[in-house]
Amino acid sequence: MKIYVPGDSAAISVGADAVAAAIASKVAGSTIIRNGSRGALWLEPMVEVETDKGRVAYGPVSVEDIDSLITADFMHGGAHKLSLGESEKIEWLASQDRVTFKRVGIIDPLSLADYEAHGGLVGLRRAISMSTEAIVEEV
Amino acid sequence: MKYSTWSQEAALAVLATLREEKGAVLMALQALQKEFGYVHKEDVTLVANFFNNSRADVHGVLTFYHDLLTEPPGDNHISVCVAEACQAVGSRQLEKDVKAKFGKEVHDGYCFGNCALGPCAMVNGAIIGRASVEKIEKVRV
Repeated sequence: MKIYVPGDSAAISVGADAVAAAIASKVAGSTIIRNGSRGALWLEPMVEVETDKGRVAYGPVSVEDIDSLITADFMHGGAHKLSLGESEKIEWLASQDRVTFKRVGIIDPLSLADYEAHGGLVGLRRAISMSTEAIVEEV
Repeated sequence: MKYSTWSQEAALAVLATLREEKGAVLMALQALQKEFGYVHKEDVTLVANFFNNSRADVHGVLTFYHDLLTEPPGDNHISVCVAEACQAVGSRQLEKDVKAKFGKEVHDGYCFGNCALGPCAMVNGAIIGRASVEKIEKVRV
C-alpha cells in the first residue's frame, strides 16, 4: 500500500521525517513515498494514502496521531479527525491551474518511471525524433 | 556540534583549500567557522594575508554577517528567525523565551525561507517550523 509523506524541507521542519518513520514501523506492508509538498503548508505534514477512489489526505499529522490513524484504518481512507477527504478535491488545490508545479506532490520525485507516467520526457523524446534543422526552425 | 581546536596551522590548511577561489574572503570565513565553530581573532590577519586583502576589509565582512561568530559557540547553535513574517506570528516573544532559557546558544536569524510555517528556528542546522521553546528543547543535544 502506497503512503505519501512529503520529504521537502518545509514538511520536514514540522516533523515529516518522524511521521514517515513512525508509519513505516507501525504499518506493515506500507511503501512510503516521500513526495514533494503540494504547497498547502498549513496542512503539513500532509499524509496521503492511495485508495480505490483516489488519494485521500490527512493533516497536519504528528507522530502522536499515528496510533489513532491506524485505529481509524487510514490505510484504506478511514474517517479520522484529521481527514481532509480526497486530495484532488481540497478546495485550495482544486481551484488551481498548475503549470510548472503540475507534478509536485503527485509523483515520487526520484522515480523516472513515475515522471514519465505523468507526461515527463515527452518534449525531449519529440526533440530527439526531429532533425537538427527542424529543431532550430521551431526554436 | 563537534569542532576542531583552532591552531594557526589548521586554519592555514582550511585556507589552502580555497587558494584558487577569487574574492573568497566570505567563503574563507565560513569555512573557518565550519571547521572551528567560530572565527578566531587571528584569522582576520591570516585571511587578509592569504587573499591579499586589507585587515579592514576582512574585519568588515566578519562584522557585517551576523551568522559569523567571533567567540567559541556552546554545544548548540540556535537561531530564532526575527524577520518580518516570523515576527508577525510571535517570534520576538519566542526569541525572548528561548534566550532566557538557553542564553548564549541563541542567535538572531533572518529568514530561513519557511515563512508559511513560522515562527521558525534553526537548531544545529535543522529547521524547525511552528517553533516553540519545547520543540527547540527536544532537538538540542
